Amino acid sequence: MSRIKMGRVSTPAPSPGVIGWWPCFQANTDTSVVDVSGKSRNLSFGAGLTTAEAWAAANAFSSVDTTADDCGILARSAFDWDFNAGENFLLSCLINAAAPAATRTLFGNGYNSTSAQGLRFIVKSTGVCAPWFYESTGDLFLADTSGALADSTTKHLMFAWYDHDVASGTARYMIWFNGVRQYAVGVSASGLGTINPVDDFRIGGNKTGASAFQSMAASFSALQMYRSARSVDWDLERLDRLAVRLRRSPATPLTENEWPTA
Amino acid sequence: MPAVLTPSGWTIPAAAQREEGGLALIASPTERTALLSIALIRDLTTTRQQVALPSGALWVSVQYRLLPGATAVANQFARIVVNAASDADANGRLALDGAFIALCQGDELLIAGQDDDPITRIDVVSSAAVGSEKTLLQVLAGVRQ
Repeated sequence: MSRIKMGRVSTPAPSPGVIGWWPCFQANTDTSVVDVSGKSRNLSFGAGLTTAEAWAAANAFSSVDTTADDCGILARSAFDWDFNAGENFLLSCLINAAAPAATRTLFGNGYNSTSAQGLRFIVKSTGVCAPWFYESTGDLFLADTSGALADSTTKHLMFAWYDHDVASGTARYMIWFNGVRQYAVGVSASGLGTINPVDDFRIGGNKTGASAFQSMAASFSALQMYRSARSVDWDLERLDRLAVRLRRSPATPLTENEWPTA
Repeated sequence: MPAVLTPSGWTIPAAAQREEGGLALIASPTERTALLSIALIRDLTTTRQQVALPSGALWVSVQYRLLPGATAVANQFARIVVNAASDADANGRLALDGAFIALCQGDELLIAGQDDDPITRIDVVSSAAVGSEKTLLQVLAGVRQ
């Protein structure tokens, strides 16, 4: 016999920099995805998404491949990452998706650099993904990942945006699948302008026009997003450690020590 | 008994102390005075079972044993989640590596809560489907009076 002896345990409290924390472990009758970060930023269902569709997969929230807004919606005011102030951003979740027939959006709040600025995190028919930005300087389609995210297995995804120098219009970003970098080095983005979103942030799709939508078939769980001031100086090695930690324990939110805000 | 301020600046609350021979002794978290609550689960299966501790436990000990004469099931262990927010939350955590505690047969888990954040529920399942094994999972909880 061996004894596993622990000290006192406490309920984990997310970093103050949390945008939201949605485990997605919910009853299949729920009509929203509950934010347990303490900020009550629940995701509402898109107009086309039924309760049965949303909870079709066990222990996950699902979106559907349609043009009827079958995704989860985070209100624009709740998605408070301040891109224009150069804030850092981190998104982590578990995803299970098949490669779509054509390019689709996993997360997004923009589609046009003049009328609907924002971010799209896209997945291509090969399963690879990339961050696309629609900003004041135009459309910025950043690099594809080296591996496929959408391959019908459950993968851990982490996306980090850091080192954003607003004055020079530069930043770095990295994507990890299962804790493994998808680019050799932190990728540099340049020519950055400003983003002033007018639409809500969608999980599993995005708007494609004033009243047009596109969503993709995917299941999400352990979804968490964070922001922090530009003054919090991240480097890739530290972010690597976060990626491994979140891959290992995706359902435990980042603490203030792990994701400092200032 | 008053709270004690240690040289390193930590405050030991009165509830975590006991007195012996005129000396204030500090009890470890798992030796705190509490009422003993016992729950037995025979032949744990992959169907989730919950041990509710509504008054809050200051410590919990969980033992998982293969009983004498029984045949072991390959790769069997118990999955344990502490303080799930709901049944659905427990189901999700029990299905996700890194979100549950693994307790192998023959082992014991000893875990402590806090006065303002006690242990209020334990959810358990077996990791593998049960065959002819015979097991006993015992939850000993020290609940607040």
